[in-house]
Order: sequence, then C-alpha cells, then structure tokens
Amino acid sequence: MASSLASFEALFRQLFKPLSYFAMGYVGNIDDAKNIVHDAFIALWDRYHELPGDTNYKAYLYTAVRNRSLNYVRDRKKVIPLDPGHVERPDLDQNPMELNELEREIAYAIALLPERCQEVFLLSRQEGLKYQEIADRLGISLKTVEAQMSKALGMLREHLGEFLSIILFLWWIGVIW
Amino acid sequence: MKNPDEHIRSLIARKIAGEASPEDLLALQAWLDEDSGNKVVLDQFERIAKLTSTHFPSDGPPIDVDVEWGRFLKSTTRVRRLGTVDSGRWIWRIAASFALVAVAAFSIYYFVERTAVVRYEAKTTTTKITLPDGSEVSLRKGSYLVQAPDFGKSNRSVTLHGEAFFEVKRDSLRPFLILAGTTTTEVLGTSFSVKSWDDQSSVVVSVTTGLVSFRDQGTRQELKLHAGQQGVFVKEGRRMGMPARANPNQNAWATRHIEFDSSPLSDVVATLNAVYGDKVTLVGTTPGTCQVTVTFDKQSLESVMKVLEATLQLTIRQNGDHYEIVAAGCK
Repeated sequence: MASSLASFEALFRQLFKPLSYFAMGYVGNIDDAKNIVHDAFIALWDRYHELPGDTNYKAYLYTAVRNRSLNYVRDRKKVIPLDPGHVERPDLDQNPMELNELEREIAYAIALLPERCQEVFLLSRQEGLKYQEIADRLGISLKTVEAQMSKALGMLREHLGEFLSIILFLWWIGVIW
Repeated sequence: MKNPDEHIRSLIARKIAGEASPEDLLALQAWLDEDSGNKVVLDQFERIAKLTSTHFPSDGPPIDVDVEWGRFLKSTTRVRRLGTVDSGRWIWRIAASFALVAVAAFSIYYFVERTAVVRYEAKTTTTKITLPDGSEVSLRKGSYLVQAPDFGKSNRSVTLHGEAFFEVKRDSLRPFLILAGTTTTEVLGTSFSVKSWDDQSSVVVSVTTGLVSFRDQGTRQELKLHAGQQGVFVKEGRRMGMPARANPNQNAWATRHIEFDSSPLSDVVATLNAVYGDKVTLVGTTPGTCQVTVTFDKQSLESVMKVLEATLQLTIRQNGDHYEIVAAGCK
C-alpha cells in the first residue's frame, strides 16, 4: 500500500513502451496499440490496491494487453465492410501469417520470463555475450548465469508448446533457418 | 511438453550459448543416443534459441513516456470523478441529477483532498517546498517531485525526476522513501540530496547529516551512507558504489555551504557557478599556486568574491551581477 502511486508510476514508465510495441504486433498501428496499453494500465490501477503484494505485474500486464489486442482484432474483423473492389489480399512477399503470430508468441514468452532470467537470456541471445561476461555485467555468479539460462530455455519451451510444431514446420519448408 | 532434467537442460543451454566443453558435448551425445525422441527435443530448443536471437520486440515509433504518464493521470482522474448513476424513470432522473452533482462534488473533494496526486515542479528556478509532514525539499531547476496519495498518513513516499535536497522531519514510524529510477532511498530523518536526471547515466545520493539507505530495486544492492558520504548507482550494468573521495560541495546549491580544501581556482569557479547560477567567468589560465582553503556558510556571491579577491590577489571586472576574473596574483 505504501507508495502505491510511486511504485505504479515506476511500473508504467518501465513497461509502457515495450507493451505498446508488443500490442502493435497484434493491432498493426501505434495509436490503437497505445490505447490498449492505457486501458490495461487503467484497469490495473483500479485493482492495484486489492492485488496481493507478490503479484507479477509484468506478466499480468502482458497477458491483459495480449487479450485486449486479440479482442480488438476480433471485433475489428466483424465491422470491416466487404467492399468487393477493395479486398485485402495477404501480401505474399511479406512474412506469412504464421511467422507474425510466432514472433508475437515469442515476444510474449520472453516478456513473461522473470526479470533476471530475461536479462541473462537476452544478453546471451541478442548481445552474444559469454557466460563470464554476463556474470561480470550483472554482478552475479557464473553459476547463477548458467541456472538462469537453462531456466529461460525451459520456460520458453513450455510456453511455446503448441507453436513448436509450427516452428519446426516453417524450418523444414525453409521459411526460417 | 515435459522438459528434460536440469542437468541436460544446462548442457543444452551451454551448447546454444557456445559455452559447451568437449566433455559437455560427449555427455549430450550420450543423452541423444539414449532415445531417438531426444533429438526432437534438442531441435526444439535450438529453433527457439535461433528465433529469439533475431527478434527484438522492443522497437517501434517513438513514444514519449512522460506524455503518456500525464495522459494516464488525466484519465484516471476522470474515471474516479464520474460516478455511474443508473436512472430508470424520469422522476428518478431529477433526483439522480442532484445526486450526480453531489457525487461529483464529493468525488472531486475526495480525489483532490485524499488521493490527490500532488506534483511539484521547479520550472525556472530552484524552489523550496514544504511537504505535509513538515519535511523541506529544495527542488533544482527542471526537476519535479510527485507526492504519493495519502502522503503523511499511510506513507511518506515521493518520486523524483531530477535533483533535490531533502531535510526530512524525523518520524521513526513512517520512513521517508524517495523513488528515483530503479533506486529507492530510505531515511528516518536527516538531510541529503538525490540526483536522478533521466538523461544522466547515474543516480547519486549525497548525505549531509544522518544515515541514509540507498537501494536498487532490481538488483537488491544496498548502501548505508553516513554524513559526508556519497552513493552512486550506474544505470548501465546496474552497479552501486561509493567514490573514494566524495565532493563536499555536492549539496552546496541547496545548503549554500561551500568548502574548499586546497582547491584550484578553476574548481572554485565551477562550484560557484553551480551554486549561484553561472555568474563567474575565468579568463585565461591561472598559476598552479592559485589554491584556496576556505569555508563559506550561506554567504552571498558578492561577499564570497570579496574574500577570494583579497586572498588570491584577483583582478575582477564586475558587470552587473556578473564577475570576470581577468588576472590572479596568487603569491
């Protein structure tokens, strides 16, 4: 309860941007994405005092934004007028539908990793740092780096469960490598 | 989707990170030979790893988080002020409109008085404010401070953007908390400053009196800082530490207490400019013997300059409230 607004502001400042880009992956434009993120934060703020102290707000917000984005896309689909002169065709030069969806799922799965776990994982995967370099950078032991890396991979595999077959399929047909 | 056990997972992780030793690879091969299904599992891990190395979810059109936070504050205010009044019949509508006015009036009172988000801003100059608990804050130009709802009742928390000097009223039951970036500074009653500009690479806490706890929420590091000490949190790499020699004049802009100990004239000028606002210029170079050891306590710039002029045999050209040091004897 103490410092509720201050801690909420810190949360907002930390996550507003990444959540907006995450939502943009679903809705396709930044303004609607930002609105969805705002709505999610407002809904969270209304319940902020009731939620238990150990709530994982990040996972909560990512899940809320994902659900709101999916609802938004679903509702939009219903009202798009089918003008025969202007039918949207999937652009075959662009990434296929499955790949976009996969990217979003991966972004979501990474976002749900515990903070330290995510940090270690991204330093390894995206900055290509060695275990020792990660340990030095974060001021943690080599053992912790090892443990977090293997935890991250395990969690990602669990989360991506059903998508793994798509991953392998796309890999086989040569869309990704 | 069952995961292989911890040992195998860490071997796979090592292989993916390019950290596997020949022994690791042998052990992994032995595991692969155990069951043909294990190859599929390894493939899955490697595909995941491959995909995560290329996809950054964190980029897109620019977003101004300050603006968005302002929008959030506005919309939550509106949400709280509007009570929904469900009205069925017209008689009730009249009653409801009275009720709505009453609800709105009460909500405004409730919101503003009880859960109001008070934001103090020092737009053009350093501003001194007194918080509801009696603590005093000097807020440096360009900084702002947000006071938590129910400040002084259930908590004493503020969020700082920029730089401020705090003289905290003692209250052993309710610690005073300052949130700045990912750091928290906690005190019971003391004076110190917190410097946390969004565009600077570190957060600095400088203690004038008493004891301060300076923490980083992310890494759970903590420093206990005593009078005269300084704690630095470097945002990149999230390291916390104490410089061997703290700058004694870090808080002089707020306290007007300045100490020089064999300080070269160029340092003296830099400090005076930080405290009194860019009013002194040093023209040309000065001899290395130009060192000053003196303490000023709440002096005007005019009297400070008089003392320096006499002790260092300075030649000063004064132009309005601006001082130009054109020569220094320094014998």
